[in-house]
Amino acid sequence: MKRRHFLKGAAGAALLSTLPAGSIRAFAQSATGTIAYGQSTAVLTLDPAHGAFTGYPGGYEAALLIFDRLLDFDADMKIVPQLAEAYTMSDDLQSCEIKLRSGVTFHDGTPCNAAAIKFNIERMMNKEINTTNRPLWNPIAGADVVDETTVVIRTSAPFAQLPNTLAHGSGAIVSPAAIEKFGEGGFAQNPVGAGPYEVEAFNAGQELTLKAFDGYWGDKPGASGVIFKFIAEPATRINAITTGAVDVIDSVPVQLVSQLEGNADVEVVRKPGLRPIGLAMNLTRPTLADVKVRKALNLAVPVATIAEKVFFGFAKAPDSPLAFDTIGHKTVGETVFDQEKAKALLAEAGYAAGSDGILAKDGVKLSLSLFGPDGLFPGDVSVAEIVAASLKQVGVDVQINKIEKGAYWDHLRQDKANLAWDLAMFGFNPSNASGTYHLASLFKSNANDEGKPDVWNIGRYRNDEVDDLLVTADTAPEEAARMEALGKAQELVWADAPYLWLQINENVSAVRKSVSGVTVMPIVFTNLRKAAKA
Amino acid sequence: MPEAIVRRRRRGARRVNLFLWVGATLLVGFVALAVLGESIAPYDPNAQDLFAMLEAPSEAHLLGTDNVGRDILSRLIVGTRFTLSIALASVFLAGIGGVALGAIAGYFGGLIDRVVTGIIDLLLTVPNIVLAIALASVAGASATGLTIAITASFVPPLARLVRGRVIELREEDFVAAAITVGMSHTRILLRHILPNAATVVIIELSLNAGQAVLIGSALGFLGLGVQPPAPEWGTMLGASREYLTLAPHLVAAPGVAISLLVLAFNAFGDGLRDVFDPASRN
Repeated sequence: MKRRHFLKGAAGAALLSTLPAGSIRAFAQSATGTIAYGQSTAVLTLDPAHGAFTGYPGGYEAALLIFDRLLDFDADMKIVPQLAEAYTMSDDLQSCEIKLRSGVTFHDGTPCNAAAIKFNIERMMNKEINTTNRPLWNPIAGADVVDETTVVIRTSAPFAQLPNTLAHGSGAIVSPAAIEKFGEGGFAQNPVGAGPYEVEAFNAGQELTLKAFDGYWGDKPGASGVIFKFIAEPATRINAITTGAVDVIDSVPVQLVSQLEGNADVEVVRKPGLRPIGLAMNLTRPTLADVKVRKALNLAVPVATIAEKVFFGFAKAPDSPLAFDTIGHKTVGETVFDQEKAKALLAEAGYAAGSDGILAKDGVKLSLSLFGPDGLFPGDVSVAEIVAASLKQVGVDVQINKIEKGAYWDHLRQDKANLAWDLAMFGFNPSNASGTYHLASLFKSNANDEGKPDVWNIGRYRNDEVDDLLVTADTAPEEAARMEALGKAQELVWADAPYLWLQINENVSAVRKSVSGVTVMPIVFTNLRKAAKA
Repeated sequence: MPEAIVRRRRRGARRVNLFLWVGATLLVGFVALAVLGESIAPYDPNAQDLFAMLEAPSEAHLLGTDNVGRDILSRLIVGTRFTLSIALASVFLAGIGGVALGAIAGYFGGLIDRVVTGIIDLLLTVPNIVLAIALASVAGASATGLTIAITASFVPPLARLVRGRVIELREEDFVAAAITVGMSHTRILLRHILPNAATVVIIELSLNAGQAVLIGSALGFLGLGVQPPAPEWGTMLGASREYLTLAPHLVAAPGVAISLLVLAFNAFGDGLRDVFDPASRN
């Protein structure tokens, strides 16, 4: 008599319940002066072109150390000089004169001069070579060398966000000689930049070893080397930093932070992100075309409580369509939880409760289909469940449709006729930190609402005034005028409530106290550029 | 000698009964939970309380509350229906499909056998998890998709089993006799061959049911199960794994429930086998 079936079954179930515990392999103890960083995403390619640095954000984090850019974002997303000593935008916002630092060399010894910058700008302009981050590079028309340390970048139309593009990760300046040597296809595995660290060994998908670049123009790097290790499981990352196998980890799940808070050797570093999460409303539906309904839905969900309870305080309720640290963000409102007011607004809009408690108007029930992914956004399924339950309390029926991660974006960006959702969870991360870029991506009217959305205006929002303001925000010569227009646009969008605004999550990393200078940037990246280890 | 045989059989009989009864009792209990569901659950399984989340077991919540403050015991009770119905439906469908394919292939032989066996072998090469992911991406995560995926993974082995048994039976004298008196193939299959193969099928299916629970839970764990907020056990397990260190009871409750149900099905299946097929006992 075989009892194998029985045993297999029972053992399998037991295994299932302990699956996430995760065991840690013996990581090599990090050497003095070398910082080991346990990353949640693997570094796969290190070329700003050809699909940019992958995987996101792991590749970008490594690129921050290997490459310098003309401009940089500081910890608060202000734009500051890096390879450029100074820059001047022309009054018509169609060109930018950049004065370069002199005497800068790449890791391979070749000079990082005006000719190298021109080569880089032209390379990133090229649609064949640089396939990603196109909205950032499309407006650029060319670059001219004035002298050894001066270069002028031209745009085809007024483009106030040019400095944002140059400061963006894809603005990494690569060595033209290395492109020549390794070819367009080979550079991603053999990156050469002018940053504080150069590549010593690169095993794509597993480990990247960097060593300090002796010839760096700026302050001497704070460590003799930095090792990027890919550790997918959060529990394993936490074990690794607890034992000292790594010095830095990123993407600490908020429910596991408490494990690290009691540890005297480890410091938790947090920063609100640039990606406000929300539910895009399908404005092509007659129900949701009514602003009263949209406002009522916003009033019915306890966003502040979600931020406080579900995310253990590592999230905040928004006060604008933009996140707090986005350039141009303006506080334009606050999320209010008031279900009585929500009910009153819905009644005003003509809805009355049926026998089952679900609101209806002209015999049509207020029943919404909520699309959400599983694991794309923090706590996405839990948040969807809470939204559904909260809306039920004011008489709105919500059916959750959990979509497999890989298929999710396709469901969002559909022709009008194929939009299956009424509410869809979405969050946009403006990687160049520009509020204008963010608002234009989400709320600028689509050229054709019947077809696929131009960028991410998936709900078919349309407000001519917002469109005009966004043009001003992009092209007005005075910065104050641009910011004023952007602020006004935020007010209008907030008032129109084309989203059910949800939380803005914080990026949480952890650093051992022996390492200093690690920052978490609002755009997800854990930045080790200024990190030092004794 | 006869005395010794009798004694051994008695001891065997006691063991058979134990397995069968333990399995059957547990199963009756689970079926009762599935049927009664909401009416015996202490709370609404979907009622949330954000101010009482991740609470440890207490008098108010016997198994504690989950990550959005729902009563875990109530979710477990109501969830029995999902887990049990997915397992039973897939086993039932697999039974029909597997027996039909196996019987046709085994009885008719020749080209039909080669074609059907080929298809079965082809199906055997597709892992059920991959199939389920593919189905879920196309049709969206749902109980139906889950059932189809599990069914598809059970049909091939069952068809092979039935085919073997049918080939064996086809050579029996009573089949030859039936052919001689001019019975139709359908009648021979339905009246003479399949009843004799029924034992094998029943035992295999009852053991499959345990596997079905496990595969269903695993797929739910991977996020391919039912739509939230439905309280399917595997989905509950998957959703709570992030809280393993913070609130272990979240994982323990569905984990133990799955183990018990699998145990029930497998004990029942083993017991059945001992009753129907004493020869297989060592």
